[in-house]
Amino acid sequence: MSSFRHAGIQFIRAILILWGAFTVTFFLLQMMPGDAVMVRFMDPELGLSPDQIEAMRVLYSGSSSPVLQYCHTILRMLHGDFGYSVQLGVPVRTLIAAALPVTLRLAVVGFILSLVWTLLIATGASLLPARPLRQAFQAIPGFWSAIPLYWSGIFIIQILSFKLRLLPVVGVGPWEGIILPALAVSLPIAAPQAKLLLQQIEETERLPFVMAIRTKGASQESVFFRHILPNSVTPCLTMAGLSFGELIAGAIVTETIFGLNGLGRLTRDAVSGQDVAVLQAVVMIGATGFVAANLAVDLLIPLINPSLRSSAAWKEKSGS
Amino acid sequence: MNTQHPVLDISHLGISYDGKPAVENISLQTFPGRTMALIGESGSGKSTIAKAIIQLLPPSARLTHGTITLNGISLTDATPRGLNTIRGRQIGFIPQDPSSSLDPRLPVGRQIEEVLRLHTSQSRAERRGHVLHLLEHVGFSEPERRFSQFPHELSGGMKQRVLIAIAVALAPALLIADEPTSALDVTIQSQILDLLDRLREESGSSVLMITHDLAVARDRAHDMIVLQHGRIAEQNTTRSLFESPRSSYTRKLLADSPAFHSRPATPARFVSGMRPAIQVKDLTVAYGSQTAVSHLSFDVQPGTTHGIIGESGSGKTTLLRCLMGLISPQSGSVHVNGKDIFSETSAERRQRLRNMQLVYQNPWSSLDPRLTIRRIIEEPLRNYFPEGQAWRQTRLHELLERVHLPLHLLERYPSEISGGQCQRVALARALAAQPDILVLDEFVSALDVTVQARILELLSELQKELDLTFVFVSHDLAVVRQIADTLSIIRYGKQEEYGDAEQIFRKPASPYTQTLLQTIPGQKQNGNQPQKFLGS
Amino acid sequence: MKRFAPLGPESVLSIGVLAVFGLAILFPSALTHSDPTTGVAKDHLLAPDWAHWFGTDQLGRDVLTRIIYGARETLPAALLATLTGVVLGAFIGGLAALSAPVVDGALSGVIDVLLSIPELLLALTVVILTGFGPLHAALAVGISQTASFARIIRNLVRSLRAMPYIEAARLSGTGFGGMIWWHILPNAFRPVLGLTVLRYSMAILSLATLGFLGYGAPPPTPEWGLMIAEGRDYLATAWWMTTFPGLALLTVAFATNRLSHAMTRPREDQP
Repeated sequence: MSSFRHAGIQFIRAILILWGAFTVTFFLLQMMPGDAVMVRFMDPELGLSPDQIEAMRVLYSGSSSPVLQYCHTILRMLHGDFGYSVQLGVPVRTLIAAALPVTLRLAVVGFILSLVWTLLIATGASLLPARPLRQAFQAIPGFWSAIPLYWSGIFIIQILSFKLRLLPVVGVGPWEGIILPALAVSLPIAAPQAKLLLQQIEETERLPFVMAIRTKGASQESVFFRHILPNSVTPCLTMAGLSFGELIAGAIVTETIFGLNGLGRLTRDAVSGQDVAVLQAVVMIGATGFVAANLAVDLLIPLINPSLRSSAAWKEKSGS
Repeated sequence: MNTQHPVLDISHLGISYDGKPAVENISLQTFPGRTMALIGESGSGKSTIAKAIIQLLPPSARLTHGTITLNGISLTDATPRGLNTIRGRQIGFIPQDPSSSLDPRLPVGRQIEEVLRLHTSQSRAERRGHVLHLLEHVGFSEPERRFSQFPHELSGGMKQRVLIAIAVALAPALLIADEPTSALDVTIQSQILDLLDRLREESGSSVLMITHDLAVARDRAHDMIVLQHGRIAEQNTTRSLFESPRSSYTRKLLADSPAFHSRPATPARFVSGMRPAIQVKDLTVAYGSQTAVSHLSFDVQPGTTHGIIGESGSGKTTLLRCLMGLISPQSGSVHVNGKDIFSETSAERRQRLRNMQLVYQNPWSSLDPRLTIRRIIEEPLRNYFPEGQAWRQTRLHELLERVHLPLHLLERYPSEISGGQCQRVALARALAAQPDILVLDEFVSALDVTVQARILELLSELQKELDLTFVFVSHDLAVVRQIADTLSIIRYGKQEEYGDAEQIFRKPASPYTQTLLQTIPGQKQNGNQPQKFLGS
Repeated sequence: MKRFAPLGPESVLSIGVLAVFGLAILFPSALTHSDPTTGVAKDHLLAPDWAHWFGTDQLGRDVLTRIIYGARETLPAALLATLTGVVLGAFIGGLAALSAPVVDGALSGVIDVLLSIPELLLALTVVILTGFGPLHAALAVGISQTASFARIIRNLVRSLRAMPYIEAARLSGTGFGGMIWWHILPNAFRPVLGLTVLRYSMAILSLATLGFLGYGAPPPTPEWGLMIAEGRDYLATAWWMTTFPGLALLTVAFATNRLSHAMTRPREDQP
């Protein structure tokens, strides 16, 4: 029962956070000096009259009072209507619908790759026979987090695609085309995860139960895979949940480099053209991804860590 | 002297950490069916020896000298793979702290099963049957239910039983018990040690028990080795070690252990008729629906020591925090020097907190690691007394002298001084406020016996000279007996006993107190019975 | 035992690397005699040689010179960004940790909301609001870092407040202000400094990202991210134009990262 209640509370929290994120970005973007619509349509080349401009204004932003607009926008968003792009003059929903699958593919593949890296680094840093090798693996997270994503992306295309001709980036199917960008985006995502996992493994290794298991005669590998690793992943899961939002942000750079038409490209264009409605929609998608991933992790952790399942009953408050 | 072959044979062992020798020239032998105790204070190298036997020393450790053999097989020359077939199979290891020695993520049955999976070719079903049998053997009444429980669902004593089941699963020739009961309450402690004795007798294993507690060793071991600074100070049978100790260090340890002598006879300072310094009436504290302390009452006369004894979860920490006014009770009252502490003004509260100082259990965590000892002791001086720097300097020197600390420690940081010194600093800080009352929370529990003895001496000296009133909270009956004039024994938040301390120790009224007193280690002597082994 | 652990070889090396970049910020003309913005047209797209160690770009500007002057564009701005983040974060986080539960709850809610927006998106939102340019970019990165600073500092201060030595100090008559000044600040300083250094390396990368996307300084500023973006078009023929600015970023970010790693490593005080 309590776990249902817990899930319910977490769900309400997630909704509240999304609402907060909407409110923050809405007012940030409304505070923009110089109305984006005006900038766009006052262009003399369009030859619009002031009346027409005012009509456009009403059409795009709904009404003039910020509070009314806020209520209006939030109601529309709840119906899946994100308004119109001032730059392109089409519904934001249409733009998103076209772009989202590309970015989701990139995010999912990149995310899975980052988990693979994380596990490989942790295993190498713990089990490799020679000390210098282990130390080299331990330095990988710090090194990867120092690599600029766009820079490594450029070189991944240049070397893997153009020089070695391993994988083309243009004129291929949706999944093949995603492999190289996902590879690029996975490195900076894996770095903080792997760093945290290494820290956690180091802490777990110091716990008395690890020594106790060694005294049973378990081999190094067996102790690592059966006991140390499972006991170290929980904080990493939380971190992975956090990084899912970063994946969508990472898409901005990656899609630019790899010429993908996803949310990232959309965002870039929106920022350049001060297209508020599009940016607001993208921010909400990023926040939703973040909140959903965190909710999932939060509900997943008790399954992995049994001592968190029925915590309340066993916590002794007066213990000395 | 002994015709049997030794199970474990250590000869001239030397180990160093980063070039610094930790143990030197250790030779010992253990025999089937006998318990050998390895006694030492912290830093004596006793754990290093235990880890060396099972070959799980940290990477910074080097074997500089000597050999370790088990039933004729050299452990010091074994390959990692070879060692894995010996650990768990021929050497069982019972770790120190049951609460953190089981994988929190796996059911306990699976953890016992692991040792079978590693060393036998039993089928899954066979292993399960074996584990259930083991669980029953170590005293669990519902093995089926226990099998699938997680460590956090078991008490400390139960976890230690599980760990013992793991250690004895394959009837190893040697059992190493590394402080097997020091993290457990007294009543549980004796049950666990009884279980170990029984298993040893049944299987004929040789037991090497590592402990800091002379009393436990005296109850359970046939032979003893006393370690000091990584060397053997004395090697003897238990009986002769206690009857005629050969080394001066052993004599000192015996003299400092509170278990072996009762309080020096002092005239009863229990003067009734005076206004009590602390008066607790019908105190009840609850957290939510959980009652931590219920209907407690006691008086503490000025200049006397009131001991509060309780095992873990007894509510003694809650009681103490309520006594300081840090938490509010559900009902009941606390009067300090005649004033109700829950209806005081903030000025009165400040005055009372100056007059009533709390001293903590953990030597390091109660001193700010970023401040020098000078700053730490000066803190109450600055806060409570408007006098200038010169006065503070004089006071500081007086206080250090009071707690017998050298002046040169003033510029050190807490991490640079020993645990005993930390506790002296904590005392000096408390005394700086010029209090009448000191509330001491497990004040000596984290200290070695010899250090503990000096601190207890200091406490009674301070009490006499400054006419202080003490409330002394502890789980250790032997220590409390040395210092308390009056006593409360609490269990599950309820007062089991209250009154004159000697009276309670001599004639305990409640059945709980009686069991508690019976289970204090050091009262029986195991060294007597196993004569038959020696003769054979 | 010393109060500060002696610097390991790794920290010395990191500090050395950062010192070289510091020199580039303070005295760029001491390290190079060329001009970062005007080139020699006939010398365009020259491969690295003795005259031009890192080659030249499409306008005949020396890449090494541009990298040296580029340090001035990115590194102080990243410092400004990180300081903005840590000051705002310490204020919000500290206030939350030291206030009544209601205030703490409200502030924590705000922190959670800000954390839910990916940092780069938040930075872009700020950029769209304030307009493009190096100072605006620094401000945007600083604001986007505030929430995570606030979260970590709040948790740190709360855990410090629960330490027995804090309670002991309060019982020794130390007031609220004294507790903060004498106990919480000194104990929080080191971990927060380590975090700030780590965040500095991330701010460098974030700023260069904004530069790469074209939201930072306009051309012909020798900003590293912008240089990489410009070099992309010549990648097939002039690899050095992208490689060396990227390496400069990598080096300084990695050195900072290792330094923070060395600073936050737990000291082995007592067994």
